Amino acid sequence: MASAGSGDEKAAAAAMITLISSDNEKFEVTEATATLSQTIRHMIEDGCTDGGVPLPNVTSKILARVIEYCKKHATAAAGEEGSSSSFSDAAFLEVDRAFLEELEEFDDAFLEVDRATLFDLILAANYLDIKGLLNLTCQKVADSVKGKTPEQIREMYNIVNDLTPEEEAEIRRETQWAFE
Amino acid sequence: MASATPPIGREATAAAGNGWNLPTDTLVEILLRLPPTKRWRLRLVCRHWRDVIRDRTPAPAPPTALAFVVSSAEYTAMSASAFAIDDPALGRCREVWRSSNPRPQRRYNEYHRHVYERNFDTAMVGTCNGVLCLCDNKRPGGAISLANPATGESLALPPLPCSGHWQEWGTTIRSWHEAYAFAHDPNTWRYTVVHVPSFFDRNGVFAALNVFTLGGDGSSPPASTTWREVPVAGAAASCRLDAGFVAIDGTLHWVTEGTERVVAFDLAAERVTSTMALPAPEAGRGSRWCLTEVRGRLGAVDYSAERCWGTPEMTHVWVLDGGGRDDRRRQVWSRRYSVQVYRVEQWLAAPQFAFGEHVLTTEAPGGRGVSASVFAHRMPPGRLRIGWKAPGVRVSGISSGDSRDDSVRIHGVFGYVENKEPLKRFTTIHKLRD
Repeated sequence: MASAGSGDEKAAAAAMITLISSDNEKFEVTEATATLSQTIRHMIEDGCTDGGVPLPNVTSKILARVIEYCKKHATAAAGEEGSSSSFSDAAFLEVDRAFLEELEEFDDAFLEVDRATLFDLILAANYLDIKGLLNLTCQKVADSVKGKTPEQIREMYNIVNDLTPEEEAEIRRETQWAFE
Repeated sequence: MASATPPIGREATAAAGNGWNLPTDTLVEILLRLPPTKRWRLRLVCRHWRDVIRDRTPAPAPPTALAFVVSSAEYTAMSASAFAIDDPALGRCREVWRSSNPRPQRRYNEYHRHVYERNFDTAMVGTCNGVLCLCDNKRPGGAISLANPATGESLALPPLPCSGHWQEWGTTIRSWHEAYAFAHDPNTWRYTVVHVPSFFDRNGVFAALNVFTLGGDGSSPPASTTWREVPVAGAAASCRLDAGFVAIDGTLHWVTEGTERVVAFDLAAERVTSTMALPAPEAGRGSRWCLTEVRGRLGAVDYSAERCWGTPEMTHVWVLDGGGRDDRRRQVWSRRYSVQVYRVEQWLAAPQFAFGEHVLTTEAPGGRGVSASVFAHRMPPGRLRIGWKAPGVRVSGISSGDSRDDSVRIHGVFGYVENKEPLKRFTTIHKLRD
C-alpha cells in the first residue's frame, strides 16, 4: 500500500475516526476509509471529530455496509496512488488489473441487496457524499428501469400515476423533434 | 443535524406507501444515467418524473439524416459507407461507417477485359437507436449483421433456419434485404429484426414472421439466440415489400397486399394490434404508397407510379395524428406536405425525408445508375416546389474516397441517433459467442 510517504502521512493514515450511527452504534475506521465521504472529510478538516462523528441520518445496518464499501475502495485508492508514484513496470500493472477486476467483483456482490437496502445506500451515499458509492448505486437503479415500461416502473416502485389521460396523450404526442 | 427526517435504513421510510422515497437530486442522478430517448419516455411514469425529466435533464437530440451509399467500379459494387448529414442547411456531412469488406480481385473475362468479381452486395435494412442493421445479399435469404458506428462494434446474426431452401435461388435475387425490418422498442429497450417470408408468394402472403430479438432486460418474451416464428393470421398476414417498414414507439408497421391497409404490430407483445386504411388517394391517380417517419410519427408517401423526372406530379405526404398507442380509433391521417419536383432529377429521400426543418431529396439515378447527391430543402408550410430555380442545397462530401471507384449510389436515407451503448452489453451476444 501507500507506505512510500513521509512520517507525517503515515501518522495520518493510522489515525482512527469513530462514526456513530442513529441507533448509537460506534464504528472505528481509519481516516483513509472515512474520508471517502466528503461530508466526513470536511468535518475532519474543521477539526470537529473528537469524541466521534454522529450520523443521525444513518442506521447501523446501513452504516456497516457503507463502511464495508469504503474500506475496500480506500485500499484501492491507496494502491492507485502507489502505482502512479513508484511503480510503472508491466508486472505491477498486471497486479493492478487483477486488483481492479477484484474490485469490480466486490462491487457486483455488494449490490446484491433488496430494493429497500439499495435505496437506503443511495440516501446514505448522497448524505455522506461518497461519489463512488453514489455512482454505483444510481447506475444499478438506472439499469433496473432501463428495460421497463413506465407501467412496470410504477408497479416496481409503487409509484402512483397522477397523470390525467390528457397529460399522458400530450406526452405521447410530444417527441422532442415534433415542433410543428 | 436535523433529526426530523427519519434515519436512512429505518423500515418506516419504505413503508410510506410510495416505494420511491429518493430525493429529487438523486432521481436526477439516476435519470442522467439513462440513454436520452429512454429517459424522455419515462415522463409517462408520473407528474413528478415528467417535471424532473423536462426541467432538469437534457432532451434527446433529434435524429440526423444518414445516407447509405454503395461505391462501384465498372458497374460492380465494391464497398459501402454511411454518411451522417449533420448540417443540411450548409450541406455538410461526415462518414460514420464504412464496410470492412476486402477489395475484390480484378480478373479478365473471356473478351480479355478487366472485370471485378462481384463479391460485395450489402444493403442497409434500417437503423435504430444508433445501431445499423445490414444485410449481405450475396447469401441466399440474406445474412443480417448489426453495427454500431459510435463504438466500432459489429455483430453477425445467425442465418435464418429456412435459408437452406433458398440456396437454389443463389445470386439471382439481389434484394433479400427488402424482406427485413429493424426496430427498437423504447419501452423494453430491445432491438428486433423481423423477416417477412413473403418473398416467393405472388400475393405477398405469409403465415408467420421470423423474429430475432436482442438486448432488453430479459422479461417476456425473452431475447433470443435463434430466429423464432411468430404466427400472424388474417388480413395482416400479407406484405407489400416495396412499401417498406416503419417502426414507431414500439410498433412496427407494414402495408398489406391487395386491400392496402397499414398493419400495427406490437413489438413487446409480438402480435398485430390493428390494421388501418391508408388515406384516400386523389382521384384519377395511380398511387403507390411507401411508409415513412415524420418527426416521430407514422407517415405515408403517396407518389405517382410514374416516377420519372420531369413529371410535375405531386408527391403527397400524410401523417398519422392523434390517439396514440392505446387509442387507435382516434387516429386520423392528415395531409402534411406536398412536394412537386419539376425538371430536376430529384426524388424525395426514402425511407425518411423529413429532418428538422428540412426535406431531403436524392438525385434520381441517371443513365449509369449513378445517384451521388443528397439535396436539402427548407420546408415551407404546405407545399414545396423543387425545380431548376430552387434546386436546394447540395450536400457535399459524399464520395467513396477512392479514385478507383467510378461512382457512388445512395441506397437510402435513414434517421440516425448516435448511441455509445456497447453492443456487447446484450446478454444474448455472450451466448452467441460461446
